[in-house]
Amino acid sequence: MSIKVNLKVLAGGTSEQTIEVEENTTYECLLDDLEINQETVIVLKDGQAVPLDGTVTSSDLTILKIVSGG
Amino acid sequence: MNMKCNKCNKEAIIFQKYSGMHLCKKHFIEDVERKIKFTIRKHFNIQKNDIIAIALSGGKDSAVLLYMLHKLFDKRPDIELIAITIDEGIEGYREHTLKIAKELTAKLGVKHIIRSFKDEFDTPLDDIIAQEREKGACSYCGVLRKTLLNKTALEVGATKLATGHNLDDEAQTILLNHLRGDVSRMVKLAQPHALEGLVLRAKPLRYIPEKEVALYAIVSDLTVDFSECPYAHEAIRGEVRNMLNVFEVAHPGTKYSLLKGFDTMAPIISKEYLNVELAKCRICGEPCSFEICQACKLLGRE
Repeated sequence: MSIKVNLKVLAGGTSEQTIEVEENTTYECLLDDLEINQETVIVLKDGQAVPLDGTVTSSDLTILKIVSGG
Repeated sequence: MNMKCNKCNKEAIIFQKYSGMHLCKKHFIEDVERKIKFTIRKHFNIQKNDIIAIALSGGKDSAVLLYMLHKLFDKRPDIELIAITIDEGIEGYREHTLKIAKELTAKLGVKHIIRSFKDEFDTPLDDIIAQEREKGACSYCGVLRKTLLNKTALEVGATKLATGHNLDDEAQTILLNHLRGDVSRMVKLAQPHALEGLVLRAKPLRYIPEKEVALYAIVSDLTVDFSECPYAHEAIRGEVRNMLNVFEVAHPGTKYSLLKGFDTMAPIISKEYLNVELAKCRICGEPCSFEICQACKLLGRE
């Protein structure tokens, strides 16, 4: 069974989409699929940070790209 | 499935691959603060009557730095904190972080000094970059910013100058210096010692991965801006950053290994590699290793 996720990517601008992922997909795998290096982002589930080895559940996900200040 | 904190069984907010630990908000904050305190104790000998200048751009790293130093030293009547912000003159970018910087110092009640390239060098960075030039934007900005930071820190009588460099910044610089074979820069990056005319540098966040600085800012409710400097794409550092991030994912702990290896090696190469005596720049009088300082050279003041 697949899971529906509302995905918001904040990287300079904002992009929003609804995606479907397989059950038991980890956040890490999701980032790999999206070709996003996990060192460069924080993943927020319903606004709370999540460990990337956790599994994706039906929710609102935000991928926040972090860049160097300075 | 929710992951549990290895220390208290509450819901984790982060998995640190390099340590194998899942941490909840409380224990993540503790972990970051413990590393910062350890770094300060081990590397940056804060003494009675120190005046610590903090380079505050308003980005996440310097915001976390100021917040932490304030948390650690606000109760110490013998230590003073002064934030210094340099307005390089980057339209559409710096105004925003400048506002964040002002709000943070006002909230914490920290003295704040703002200096600009325009007032100091008669020209904003945007104008320098628009001219015909030999080097990348970051070379101009970096040299001029460091010169003005040091000068301002000296003027306010600072005994330390703290910057928000994180683990990623340090690991990138180490690797970059290796790739360029630049031993003299490696020596400069080594743990700093006191030199006439240069305020002693301190980097309390050098053991905190960039991601964790960002997460710490978020969970501490600090206003952070994740916009990127419009000139950032010009720097070769970006390539090194990508390379290191790929390596870190495949081999967790790579960034720490680079830093720890360098810290072990640095005192040895520094001993063998002759330390340059600092002279005063013939044109502006700022400390430098040659007759004319880098800032004056870049500004074409020769």
